[in-house]
Amino acid sequence: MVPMLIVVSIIAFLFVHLTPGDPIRVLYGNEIDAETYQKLKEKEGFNDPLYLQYTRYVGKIVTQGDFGISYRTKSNVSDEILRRFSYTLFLTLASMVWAVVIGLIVGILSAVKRNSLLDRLGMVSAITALSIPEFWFGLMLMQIFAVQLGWFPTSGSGTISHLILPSLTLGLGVAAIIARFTRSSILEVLREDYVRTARAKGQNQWVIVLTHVLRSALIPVVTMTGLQFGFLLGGAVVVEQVFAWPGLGSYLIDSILTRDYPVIQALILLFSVQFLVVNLLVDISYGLLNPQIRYE
Amino acid sequence: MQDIMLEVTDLTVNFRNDDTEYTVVNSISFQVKKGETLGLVGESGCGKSVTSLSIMRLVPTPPGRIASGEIRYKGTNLLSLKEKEMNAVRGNEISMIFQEPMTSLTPVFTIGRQLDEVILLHTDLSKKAAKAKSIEMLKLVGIPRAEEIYSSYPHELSGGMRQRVMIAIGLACEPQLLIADEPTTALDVTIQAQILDLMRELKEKTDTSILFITHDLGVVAEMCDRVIVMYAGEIVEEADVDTLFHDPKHPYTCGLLESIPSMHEKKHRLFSIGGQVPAAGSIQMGCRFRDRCSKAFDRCEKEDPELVPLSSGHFCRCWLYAEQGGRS
Repeated sequence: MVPMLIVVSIIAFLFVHLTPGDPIRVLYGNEIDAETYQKLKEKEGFNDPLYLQYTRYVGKIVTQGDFGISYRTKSNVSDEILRRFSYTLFLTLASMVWAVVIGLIVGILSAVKRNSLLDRLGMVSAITALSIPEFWFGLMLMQIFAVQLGWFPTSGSGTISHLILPSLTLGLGVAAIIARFTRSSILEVLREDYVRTARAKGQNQWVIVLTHVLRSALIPVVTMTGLQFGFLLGGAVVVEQVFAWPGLGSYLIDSILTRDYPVIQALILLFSVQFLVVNLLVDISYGLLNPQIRYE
Repeated sequence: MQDIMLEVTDLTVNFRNDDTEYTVVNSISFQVKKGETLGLVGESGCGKSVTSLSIMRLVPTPPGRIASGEIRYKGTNLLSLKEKEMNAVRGNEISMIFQEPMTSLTPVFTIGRQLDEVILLHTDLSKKAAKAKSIEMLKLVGIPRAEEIYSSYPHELSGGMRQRVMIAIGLACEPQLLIADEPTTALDVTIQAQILDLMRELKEKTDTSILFITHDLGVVAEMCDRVIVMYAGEIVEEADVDTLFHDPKHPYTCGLLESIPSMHEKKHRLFSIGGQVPAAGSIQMGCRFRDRCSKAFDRCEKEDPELVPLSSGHFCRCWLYAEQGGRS
């Protein structure tokens, strides 16, 4: 994980510093004269060679947890990110709960009742959910449940009820993917010889699916769910905009638009760390699901 | 007269491929008596596995379908049972051992859990008692360190050991009928012999009826009381094991017996029956073996031979013996 992080930090650093755009102008405006410009550039360290800038940057992170000062707001980057991170984390977790619950139920039902009306209905809904644009689905939910029925607030954050609609919007697409993965994975495992053995024991079909089959069938589902979890942790730009949710997605977009280098770098690093952690968790869960992997 | 444990009457099983339905098992009838080991022999694809799966009602549906017939177990037609009632029979009254020990155990569960499962399903034993029973079963099938194996996973065991576990699962609820579908085919010869010894020994102890499916005539000679020879979905000959080996009638049976290598004669080339098993559904009329038969004559082309009795308990489906049996 550590070498991965070093590589990622170098890439993040280079990406940002090699893209066109002048942070001095962003920081101090276009009106400063050439002399002040040079002075400021010297002062901020932009005249140093890149490797020096890089080591200085990493050094501060490692020793003080200091990701620098946001050019735009002049406040500490780590504070800004931390404040938004909890919102993104809650939104992601809530979305994944929707996704896993809906996805597994639809996937399992479709697999067990293969080719039935239920199965077709489930799979058509999954395709539909995948094809619906997030902003439209979000607005529809808002229109029905917030504006007309008044069950939930239209937007904003702070309480659990604020979380319901945006997380449902975000979770639905993932639920559709999980449902399709679960279905095909279960159908594949159902062809295994050991399923026949379990049936020959006189075990009920449902119990077989939920015990013998599901453990093996979940492995590809877990892999995919982990990836989706990682993506969602990177912030949901569209949903955050629709529901005025103060998460990382809109923060990243704003920072890119204003060339707020320290923030962009910190976010790229954060997203990488999140992905690495999620993947580690996925790998650990393989061991729980399959004893053969545990011993290797 | 011995009690009849299982009676299969006119069983026909079809498989659908694209839009055509093929008959894989064609109207077969046989009986398994109490305490008897009946061998079901034939080449790959002759329908013997499908027959055994039909008894358990485990034919994959679709594409398979039991089209007609009756399977009576102690007088009850298994084909008319509800799924729930059938589940009470499976693993309890009738159990089955499969050909592939390597893949027939659930890889993510311990051996113990898989044994406990069948015991808990069909008895009122507590979990603790079920565990004790499982360990007893593992010892019974000759597994050393049974307590340790109880908490092992299938991948930690060899093929022979896994097949012993399968037998333990099969016998855990003291079934009246055990269906063994080529239980030794996937194993080394020495392990095969051990497993066969074990099965014979357990049979003597428990007096279970066995339907033994195999393509290995050597195994038949060792294990079975009576033998049914199947060819292309039909029974072509049925006899007790001595009669079959010493006085085979059907040309196909003769061919099979001739293909067994002999220790006493030195032959340069092993006898083999020419040609291949006809594809299911390819023969509409006449004897299904005629194209590979050295004794085929006109009648074999035109008319379906019937299974006729030659002597007590010896049946054969061949025009050569039609007159002998008194029917035509």
